[in-house]
Amino acid sequence: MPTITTKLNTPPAQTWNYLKINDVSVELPQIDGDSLTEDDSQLANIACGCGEGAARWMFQIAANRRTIEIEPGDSEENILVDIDVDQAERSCVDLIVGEGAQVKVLVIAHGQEDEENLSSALLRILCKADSKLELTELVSAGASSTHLSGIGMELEQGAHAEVKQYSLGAGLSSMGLAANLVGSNSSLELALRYMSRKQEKLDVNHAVWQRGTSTKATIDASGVLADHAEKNYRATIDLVQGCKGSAGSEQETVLVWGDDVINRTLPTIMCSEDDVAGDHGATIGSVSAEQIEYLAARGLSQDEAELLIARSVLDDALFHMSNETSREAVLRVARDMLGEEEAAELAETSAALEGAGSNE
Amino acid sequence: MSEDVKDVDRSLYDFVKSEEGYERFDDGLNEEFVRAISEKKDEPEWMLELRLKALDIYHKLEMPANWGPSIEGLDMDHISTYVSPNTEQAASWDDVPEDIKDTFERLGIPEAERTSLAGVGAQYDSELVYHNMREEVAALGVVYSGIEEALHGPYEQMIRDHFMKLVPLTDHKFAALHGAVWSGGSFVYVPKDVSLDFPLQSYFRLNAMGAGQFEHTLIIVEPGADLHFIEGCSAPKYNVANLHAGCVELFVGEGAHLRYSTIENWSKNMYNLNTKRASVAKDARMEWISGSFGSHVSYLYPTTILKGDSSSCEYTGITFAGGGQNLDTGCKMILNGADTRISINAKSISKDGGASTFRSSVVVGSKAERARATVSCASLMLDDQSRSDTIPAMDVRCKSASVGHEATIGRISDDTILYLMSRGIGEEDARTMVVNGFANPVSKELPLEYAVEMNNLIKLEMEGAIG
Repeated sequence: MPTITTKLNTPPAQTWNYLKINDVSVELPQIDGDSLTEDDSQLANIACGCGEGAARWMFQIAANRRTIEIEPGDSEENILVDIDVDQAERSCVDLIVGEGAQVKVLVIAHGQEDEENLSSALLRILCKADSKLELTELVSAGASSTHLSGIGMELEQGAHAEVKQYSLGAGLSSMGLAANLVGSNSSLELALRYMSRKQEKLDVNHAVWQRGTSTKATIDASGVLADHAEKNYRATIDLVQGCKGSAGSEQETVLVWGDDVINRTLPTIMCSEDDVAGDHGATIGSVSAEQIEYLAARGLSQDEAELLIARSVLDDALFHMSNETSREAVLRVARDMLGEEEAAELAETSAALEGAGSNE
Repeated sequence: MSEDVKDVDRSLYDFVKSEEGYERFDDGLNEEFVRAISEKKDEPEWMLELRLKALDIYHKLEMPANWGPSIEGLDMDHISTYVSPNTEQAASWDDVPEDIKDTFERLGIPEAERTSLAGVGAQYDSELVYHNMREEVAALGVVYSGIEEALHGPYEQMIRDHFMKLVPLTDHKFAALHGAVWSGGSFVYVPKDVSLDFPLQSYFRLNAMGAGQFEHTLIIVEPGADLHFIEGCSAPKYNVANLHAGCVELFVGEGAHLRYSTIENWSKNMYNLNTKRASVAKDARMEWISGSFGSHVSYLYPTTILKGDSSSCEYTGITFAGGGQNLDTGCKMILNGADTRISINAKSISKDGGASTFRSSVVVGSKAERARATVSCASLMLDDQSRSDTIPAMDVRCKSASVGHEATIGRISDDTILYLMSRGIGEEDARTMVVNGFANPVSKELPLEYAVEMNNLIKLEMEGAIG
């Protein structure tokens, strides 16, 4: 099948091209013009973080397209988008969350075969006034596979979205998420946690436009890079003229755990409004000398401390997975990285915490 | 503070002198002009070859289409690449033609030379018109001369070994243009273990309308030596585009220290596409102090390559973007040596529809064991018509390195202004005072005269900011 080189995850503001952080290039199968489907979804114009061209490709290539509409005031906790990467599954979901409705969505891209599979998940979401969205996404796939994730969301007045993304492995895990906070008092909490090892590559683009008044956005990314892993992370908060009283914040913490990693970060704040507060911060490195001293005084070596941090990523991911497939996808990484015994302990701890939570 | 700046008026920088009797190349760029510049300077053959190669590269390179301010208003077919006031370079202000001397008098250069500088170079359009250094400094073996002058003396080989080696001709389109048509600038050589008690200063004045200035500054600081170099620049405002595409190459030897300070106040029709780069050896220290106030469009990112172990660099910069300005400034740091240290402290202010972008890159190589980098940038928005973007890139490839970054964007709080006004300070003065305080980390790094100049520029920019 002929392929076409497509650039994904381009941030709203770019920088020097020689840094190779402005996008990620992927060879995508070319779609025959005769088989194109008209995208007449009412969410077709929602910008996705993967970029317009990539979103168009993901829509066209999706074998499974569905639209889910949650009625105003309703509550739905079990929306599942399940992508079997080993089967190169490709899916597109449009989700409309009605006024005052509450919804929980789990998107999982899972696989274990060391083959060059290409899977994708396109998710376009409209959160109407005062609705609440909880979105959890997991990517955990084989070392030669490519998974493309494109998410776009628009938040109307008072809507709130809480997004947790976990990337625990893939030959290339490309995650692009864009959020448009158009309504006043709308808010977004976005957290990314990742573990990249071996020759894996993680490429992420987070773009948030704050347009309504008094909007709030926080982006918190943290993770571990081991072995020869490569990571590109772009986070953009754009405080658009008119978004008076808004606040945007980005934070990133990276543990560089390998001797041969590539770790690129582009945390951008754009601002054309004076009555706002914007900030970003990043901490990149290994466990510092001061931290090692502190931990040593408590009986932990540097290796143990770093392992603890790495384990915490899996711990957190496992805790937030709500079905067996997703939990198994996390535990598979845990077994490979920590061994059977530690993985079992992780599972037990997580189950105990979940049990403790349900007792409350 | 306010007493010191009351007397400032805009005519300090914005005045024009007649070009009568000047030599001016026709607008545009071609091989004939490049050869003519080389011939006028009676250059060695290798320099002409470099120029022609640069011209070829210039024609082949494109400006990046995906980032940076637009330079659509800059048309090289309407820029003269060489304008000479037709005067010999003088070593005494008395020998400088009266109107040019008057220009520099108004800019305060001779006065500064008498009181606080070890040497001064003054460039007017494409040529140096004055160059002098104190005798006691020359006696230490320090060389401070025009770069063309040095090309005809014992330092030719040294210049050949360093000229456009840090900034390759292929670096970007306007670095190539610079290589093709460069004219004027300074050559500084500070011998081993020599410390200068006073700074050297070069001042660049572009008087000609629709012209370009392409000076080249080459500084070599030998091991253990210490230098503070100050660069100033200004131009009158025209309603056509002017271009500045200078190039600065700095070589800081083992254990040496170089501070490079710039107060840039080009007129607001200027396209400032300047390139500055430093190479820093083992245990050496580089400091950049940068104030960007002028220009219509700026692309300015001093670059530092920390190639020696335990070398360090500090960048302290402020950018003030007012109406009609789009200033894209910042810095690039490349940490290759072990135990290298960098600190970036950048401030930007946007008002009256001005756009300011802080752009940086910190690249930590795989051999930069235990390298440390801290980046801090703060942006102040003075109204909702302006824009301020912060685009810092980091690429870290060493496990034991540590990089910390923080940035904030905000405005002057109403509470602060009300507090100052309740103590009898007018609103405009209160806001100027806060902006001066915001800029203080930069101004305190400058010699007093230049700190005053910077505060004056802020005062000028803040005039009419209320209402």
